[in-house]
Amino acid sequence: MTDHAPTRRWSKRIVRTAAWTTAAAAFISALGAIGAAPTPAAATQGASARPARQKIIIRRVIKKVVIVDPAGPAPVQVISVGGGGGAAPAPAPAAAPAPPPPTTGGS
Amino acid sequence: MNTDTRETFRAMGTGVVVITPSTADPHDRTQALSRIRSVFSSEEQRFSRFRGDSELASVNAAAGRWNTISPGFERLVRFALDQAERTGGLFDPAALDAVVAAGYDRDFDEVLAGARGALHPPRPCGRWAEIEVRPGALRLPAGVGLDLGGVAKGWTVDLAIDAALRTGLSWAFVSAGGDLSIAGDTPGIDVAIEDPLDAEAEVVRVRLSHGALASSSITKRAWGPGLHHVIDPRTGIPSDTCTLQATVWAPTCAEAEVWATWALLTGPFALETVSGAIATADGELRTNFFAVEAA
Repeated sequence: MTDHAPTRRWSKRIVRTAAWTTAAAAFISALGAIGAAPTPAAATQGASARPARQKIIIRRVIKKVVIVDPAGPAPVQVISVGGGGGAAPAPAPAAAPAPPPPTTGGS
Repeated sequence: MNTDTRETFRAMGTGVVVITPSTADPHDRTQALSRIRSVFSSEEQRFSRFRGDSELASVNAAAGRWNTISPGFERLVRFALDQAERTGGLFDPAALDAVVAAGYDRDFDEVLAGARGALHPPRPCGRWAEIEVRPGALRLPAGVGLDLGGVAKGWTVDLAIDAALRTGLSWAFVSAGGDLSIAGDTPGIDVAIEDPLDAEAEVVRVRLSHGALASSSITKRAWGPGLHHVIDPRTGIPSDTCTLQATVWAPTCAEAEVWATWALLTGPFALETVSGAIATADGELRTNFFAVEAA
């Protein structure tokens, strides 16, 4: 016959509390480790040293318009160069701004 | 221009702009627009190479043997073959294999999205001379396909203008992706010629009182370095010249489209023959359009 010393059993409440406390401590310490880790260089650059956004400048390819002798009679008159229609005859006053002219530029 | 009425819709894979006089009878205008839409719809069905059920697709599929064609198809094919001869073959309506070999093998939106087959070696051009046409029928040489895309668009603009004027409008303007025409008792329409590298910027603004303008460009419908839709029939590959864009005036839009292609492949010397504006890679736009108040 063997005598067993009476074992002391923890109550469920104590076990549950201990489990929650341990888990919370592990979670917090993991967060701390993540926070203490060095930030990758690329992320640092993106967050704090991001260069000013570059303005995209579309450089017009056409720098000069050259008018040469007509090949033949064509009912086409150049009325302005460089856009804006500055040399165009002034249209009659309108309530709404005139729509942009139709364009041709290849297909 | 501020009192004119402008309508837009999409057809043939591009934007169509119709301008009519605001003084027109509303019924006439409505009828004209309806007819114009109908013309674009029927001609797209006839000439699209991206529709498997188009007449063009069935003709190309029957290469090597005689195929029945509609009167409308026959008219454009005869026109295209005549223009091919006049341009010494620089306008080649039978360069389909070459443009497909260069990568333009499906609707352009899909090409831009990167969906295309492998590139192929250059294909020989010039076989348009072997195409046989007789009333109501056509025979393409085996292995040859028609590509009437650009000229069909100009042709359709001409048909649309005619249809609009038959409704009683005093004048009408139609543009399909920059292939444009004006006819009737017109006040003149201002048209901007785009910068070949920036479609938002206009280089020159012209006033068109009658006839048509069309442009051909290697910077539009381009899908990679040196890859674009303008095939040089002399080499069978996309043209590689200093000319970026050519805009040409002609009495009809179909002719303007043909001669714009010819001018693009010919270069600035083309201005000794045609009325137009040619943009080159060195930053010049040379034009022989009549200058009224050019800056």
